[in-house]
Amino acid sequence: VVTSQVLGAESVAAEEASFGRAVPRRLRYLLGLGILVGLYVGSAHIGFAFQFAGPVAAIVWLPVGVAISFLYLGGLQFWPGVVIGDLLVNDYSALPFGVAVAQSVGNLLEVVLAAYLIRRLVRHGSPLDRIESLAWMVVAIAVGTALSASVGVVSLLAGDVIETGLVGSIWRTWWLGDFSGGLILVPLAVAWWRPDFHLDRRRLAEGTLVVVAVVGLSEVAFRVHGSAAYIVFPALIWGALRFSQRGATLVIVIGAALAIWHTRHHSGPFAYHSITSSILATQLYIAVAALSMLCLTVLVAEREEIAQRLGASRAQALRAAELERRRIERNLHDGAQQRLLALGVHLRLSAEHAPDAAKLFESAESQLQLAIDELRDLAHGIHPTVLKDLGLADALRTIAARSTVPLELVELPAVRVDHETEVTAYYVVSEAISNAVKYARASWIRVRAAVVGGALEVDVVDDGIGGARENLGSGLRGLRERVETAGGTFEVQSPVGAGTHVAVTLPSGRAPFAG
Amino acid sequence: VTAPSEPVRVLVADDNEAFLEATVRVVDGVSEFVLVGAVRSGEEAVEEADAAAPDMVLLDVRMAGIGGLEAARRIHARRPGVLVVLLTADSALADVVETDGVTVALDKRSLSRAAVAEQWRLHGRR
Repeated sequence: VVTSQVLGAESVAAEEASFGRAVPRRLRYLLGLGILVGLYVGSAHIGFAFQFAGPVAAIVWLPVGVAISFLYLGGLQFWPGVVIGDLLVNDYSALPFGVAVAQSVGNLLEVVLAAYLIRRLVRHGSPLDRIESLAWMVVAIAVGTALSASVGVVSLLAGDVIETGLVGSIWRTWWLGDFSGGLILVPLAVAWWRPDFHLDRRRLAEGTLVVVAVVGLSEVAFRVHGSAAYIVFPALIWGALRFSQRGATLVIVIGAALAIWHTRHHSGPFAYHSITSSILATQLYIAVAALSMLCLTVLVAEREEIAQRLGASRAQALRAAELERRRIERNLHDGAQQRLLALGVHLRLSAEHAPDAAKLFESAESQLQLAIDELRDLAHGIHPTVLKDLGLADALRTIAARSTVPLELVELPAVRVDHETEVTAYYVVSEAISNAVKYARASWIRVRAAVVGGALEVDVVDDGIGGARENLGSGLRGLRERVETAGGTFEVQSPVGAGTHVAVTLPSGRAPFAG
Repeated sequence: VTAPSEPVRVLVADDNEAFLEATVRVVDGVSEFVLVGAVRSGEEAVEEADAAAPDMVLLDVRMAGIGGLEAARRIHARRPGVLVVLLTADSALADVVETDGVTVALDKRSLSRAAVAEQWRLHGRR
């Protein structure tokens, strides 16, 4: 009573947060209990029907996995469903009453403890998000199932159902059967319980191939004599690598089911004369396969998350750098540049009043003009403001007008695209031109920029010495990073002695620095 | 038709204090010009162009807000004959601005009494 009150408080909060308004809380709870009991009993009967589970021992005891998943995902308050399911599943005629009751208590405690421990130990997100969480989930399932095995074996011993000499092997079989049940079904439930999958035709075809490969290789593995069980692993790895959590948990189930099926039909590498040995070998195979695939898929997920974060922080850094350049450019423009320009105006006004000092004023003004030009080029290199006002085509015209090497504008975009894309394209062109002039000793340069479909294409070709390389810290490497962060493609062809061609395609119409 | 002796009414707009002051001095220094306003943004220039009825507007291109290019468009929408001289610190920009008789560009580096007077002589009308 105390427990249900405590757990009831928890479900009130859950109810207010979610769909409690549609279905009354009590009804929803009873519905959940019914589903749990149904799944519990159903999964037990699958075991009975395919003869991999009996009243005492099982190769894999599925109800444990079902119940842990349900209590972990749905809430510990559904524990009575485990009791009801267990009462319906247990054969009370086969065991002394006290032993049967002890087993049921052990089964309940096992499930509640495992589900509680997963909730407690996996603090953030899903148990399949990171390797640490996966490890804690495995520990939780191992500890919970060890409790059931211990309670069960002790009760069997106390009820004189088994002899002392068998304690070790029965405990091991019990524990591995329950542990495998949890290890197969809990990740499956965690991976699949939210129905938001979308597979396009190609992925669906590949997924089908994975399943075919797992089934086919399992058939080969379990039909030939000798230890060929490991040949299934490449297919399992394929599923885990390419289809993340859902793929991994699914191929684990399929692989386990086929291993059990064959062992029960006395074929394959685990079909020994001793049933105990067969069961142990199959259990170990399933546990090892499941653990390996889970580790693999979690590592893949971690790697993808890290790659994503890395990409985001790179975009963030570029964006910050870009903002900083704009700030510096604006400060230069608004400050020193305007003052020098104003000074020039005053100088010219003064010169008119002092015809005697005309030569001095002239020289002062030409010095001033040089300073203004240098400052303007500096500011322009930092951030080209002409882009914002007049667009890429005119900005490229200004580059052409300033170029010290003959520069031909083969094609210019007739339409404006979003500012960030124009800025990226502008940097590509100015950097490529500066390379062509500085390093490649080009005698001519051709620039082409065109909006084709939804993309801005930029080409810069020169007749220089070629042999340009994307070394770390080189301008080309920096350009590639800029372009790829903007979601574009970057290609350099630079055969030695035959000029350089930089080809860039940028998706336009969206902000590339959005992160 | 205005009498020829009447001075050319000039409005100037620049968001930079130092350069605005320099521009004002240039305008003051041309005898046939009279300064009718000095403002610090494109929006103010549009308003002032309505109020002060200038013949010529010296307009900085790069200003916060609508900027010189947009201000020029708005001024011309209301007063098509006004000569707008776009002042820019970027000579390249001065090269590429489309000049259509009522809009011309002038590099700030070459702003002087003679340069402004010449722009009026070449393009100004009233």
